[in-house]
Parts: sequence; structure tokens; C-alpha cells
Amino acid sequence: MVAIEYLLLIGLIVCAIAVNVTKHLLPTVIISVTFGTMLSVVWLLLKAPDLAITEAAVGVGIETILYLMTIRKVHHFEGIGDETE
Amino acid sequence: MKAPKWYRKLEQWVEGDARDLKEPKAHDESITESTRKIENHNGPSLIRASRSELISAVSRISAVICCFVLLVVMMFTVAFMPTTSTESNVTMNETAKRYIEQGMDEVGATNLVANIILVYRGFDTYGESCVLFLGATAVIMLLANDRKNETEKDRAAQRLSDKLDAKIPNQVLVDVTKVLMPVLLLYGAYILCNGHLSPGGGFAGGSLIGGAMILCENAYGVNKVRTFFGHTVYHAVKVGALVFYAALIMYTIFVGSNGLENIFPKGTPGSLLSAGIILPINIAVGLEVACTMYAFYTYFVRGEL
Amino acid sequence: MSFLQLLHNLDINRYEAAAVCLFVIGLCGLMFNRNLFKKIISMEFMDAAIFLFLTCNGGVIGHLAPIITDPSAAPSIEVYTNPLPAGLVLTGIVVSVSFTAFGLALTLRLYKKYHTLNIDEIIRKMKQSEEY
Repeated sequence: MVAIEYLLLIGLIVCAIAVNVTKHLLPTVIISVTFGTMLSVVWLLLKAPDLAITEAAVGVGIETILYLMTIRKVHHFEGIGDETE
Repeated sequence: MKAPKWYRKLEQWVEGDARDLKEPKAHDESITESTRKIENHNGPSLIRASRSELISAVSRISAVICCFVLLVVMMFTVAFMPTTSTESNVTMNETAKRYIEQGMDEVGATNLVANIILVYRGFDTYGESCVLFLGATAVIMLLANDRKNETEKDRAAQRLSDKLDAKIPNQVLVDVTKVLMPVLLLYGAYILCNGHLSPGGGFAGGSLIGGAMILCENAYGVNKVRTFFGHTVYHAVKVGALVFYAALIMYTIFVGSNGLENIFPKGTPGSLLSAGIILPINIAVGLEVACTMYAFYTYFVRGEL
Repeated sequence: MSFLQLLHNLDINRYEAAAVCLFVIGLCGLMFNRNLFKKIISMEFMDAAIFLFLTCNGGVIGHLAPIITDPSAAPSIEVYTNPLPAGLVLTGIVVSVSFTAFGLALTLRLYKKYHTLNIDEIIRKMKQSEEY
């Protein structure tokens, strides 16, 4: 049990470092999704199921959609989206 | 500043396939522009540039040192903190005792977290709902299509992408939505209505319903969603839920402070219709959160509902 | 207190230690990233660190989640974990989503005007437009 806790906590820290290392925005979003998923498992280990459900629905679902929509808008403004016409 | 080799390797490893994407144009332009500026002027500007670079480097290094010192200090604090997660935990004090041992009798919900956030600290949660409302309002103010925010080119691009979406429906997405959408809605409603019996509650259920609506919008286009969730419905549901919540909280505070009888029955703990005001408040919060999440999405994508 | 004792205490308070590390990493990211998008994600991690710190103070090993399964028996503090931190954090998570949406909306507006996400570039262009 303790090994799983350490694995999750170290995974959280690695995710937080990896966000600062990436150069492009899409990997950043994927890392943030990984972070949210691990965090919701941590909430379960800490005996807070309300937080786990809310984190999985809000932190992983809705926030990812917002990030992806922002990236799509940014590329759209750049003119990358015009190539698909 | 040149990055060391291991850093570049780590970067490449994290990036995966996405290497050598070209840098944004603005960046190149800026470099040439700044170099030209330096060349045009005489010596002093060069000196000034190097001095400002030096200052920024020094401030950067000192910031790193400050962060490290902060880390060390906080680590020491954690090491000297009383050990949590044990029976002698200091946070297991009389507040927790009161909430655990008398919460179910006083409020009626078996989920003690719902007791706390909706009744004992109901005013706090009400303010938090207002924060959500304000967040949605600020996003609408910033991203809505109006005279200043939208050009003819944007509108043409949006129309084109809408037309493309309508012409080539994504078959995988549509099929998955057919299966997933009723399940998501049912699960969201279940979590919403069972907030006082099991984990979940208004926030989780509301965001699930909002996610289901976002999925529907992605698969069938915005016109399909507009048939049942347009401007009027959005404003009515959002403001109605908030006002309903405010009225319930005001009623509870008034009754509680004056020692009157509450008209919402506590019921038997563990049954669906119990726990007084928690069930209606959960439904109101869920509707509010669902509206907010859908509004965030649709204003980010197209700038209107 | 010897070094081994220190490490032992950190092992017992591992959630707090991880929360502190996350907080400092998020702070560094907030300060040193030039990209506004990454600044917002770093802020998100700082939020998560504080939530982790709050929640792990409520948990007790071996106790149950604060949901009463048998309403007929009187609940006791010896059985359940402290529900108060979970209640506080639950509202915090939703507020952090609200904050993220607001920050991203501001970022989009800045991008529309200056065509870059780099904060240095934005400040430089701002100064230029003020001068002329």
C-alpha cells in the first residue's frame, strides 16, 4: 500500500516537472490529464470519495476540454486551420 | 543561455514525435528587430542591453535560490510537524467530533461531507456558486462576439468550419455519443439526486451533465443543442437555480437563528427523500454547474450560445 | 534531531512533503515559464498542492470514508475520517476550474491582440504601442 502511495506521489511530482520541460502545448495538456487522474486516485487513498469523483469529472474532463479549445483557437488564429479548406 | 545536453535529451524524450515544429513567426521577427535596433544605435544602447541582461540573469538566479530556500524551509516544517494519519492526530478535534457524531441527527444526510458543505457551511458554498456565476459572466464578457471582438475573417472561418462539420459527420463520434450520452445523463442525474447518501453531489453531477451536453454539441452540431438549450433557457435555468439556492439558504438561516420549526422534514436517514434542504440545493447547484460548464465550452469555441 | 529521524518524519508525513514539493515546482513554473498557457497550468498545480496538504491532514489510517453505512448505529469519531477538509477542498476544486476558464479567456484575448503567448513579447509590443 505504501509503495502505491509513493508511486503516485512521485508520479505527481514528475508530472509537475515535465510540464515545465515541454516545448509544445499539446503534450502539456496530456501531462495535466495524467496529473489529474493520479490525483483522483490519491483522493481515494485519502478516504475522500467526493473529491475523487469531482476531480475526475471537473479536473480531468472539463479543464482538458477548455485547454484543448484554447489550443485550437490559437492555431486557428495562426492560420494553420486554413490549410484544411 | 545554452541548455545542457541532458536537458535537451529530456526535452526530446518528453516531446516524443512533436520535434522540429517551426517556431512562431513573431519570435523570429522580434529577434531581428531587436538586433537591428542595437546595430542602429551607438555604444550606450549596447551597454544598456548587456546591463539589463545581467540584471535579469541575477534576478533569475536569486529567484531560483529563493525557491530552493523556500523548499528547504517548508520541508523542515513538514518534518517537525506532528504526525498526521494517526490516532493522535491534532485535526481530529472537537469540531470533527461534533460533525461526525451529531451531523446525521441534526441534518439527516448520511454523507457527512454533504452535511458540512450544504448546511453547516451553506453560506460559504453559496458564495462559491456566486463565484461560478461570476466566472461564467467574465468569460462571456471577454469572449462574446461583439463589434470589437470579431472580424469578418473570423466569421467566415467559423462558418466554413461549421459547414465542414455538417457535411462530413464524424461517424465514430456519432456512434459513441449514441451509446454514451444516455449513460452519462443517467449517471449524472443519479449522482445529483444521491448527493446526501453517497459520494458525489451537485458539483460532480452537474459537471457530468455539462460534459454530456458538450459531447452532444460535438457530435450533432450546435443547432441540435439550440433546440432545447438556447439563450433563454440558459439564462432562465442559471439565474433561477441561483435565486432558488439563495432563497433556501436565507430561509434556513432565518429559521435557524430564530429557533423556528423548519418545514423541510429530515426523514429517515438513508432514504432518498430525506435530509431536508440538501436534495433541492444539490439539484440547484447541479443545474448551475452544468450551465456554467456548457457556457464555458461554447463561448470558447464560437463566442455565442 | 538526527538526519535519520528527519527522514523518518518525512516518511510519515509523505503527503505533506509531496504537497510542498508540488507547491514549489508550481511556483517556479509560474515565475520562469514565458508561456502564458504553461503559467496557468502551473497555477493549477499549486492549487492541487494546497488541496493535497489540506486533505491529508483529515485522513487517519484505518478509518472509513465519512459516509455512514449503517444509520441505526451511533457514529463515532473512532471509525470515520474528518470530513471537514474534504468539504473545504470540494468547493476549492470548482473555484479553480472557474479561475482556469477566466485565465484562458484573458489569454485568448491577449493572443488576439498581440499574436503571441510569450509574456515578454506581449510586454514589449505593449510598450511599443504606447511609444508611438
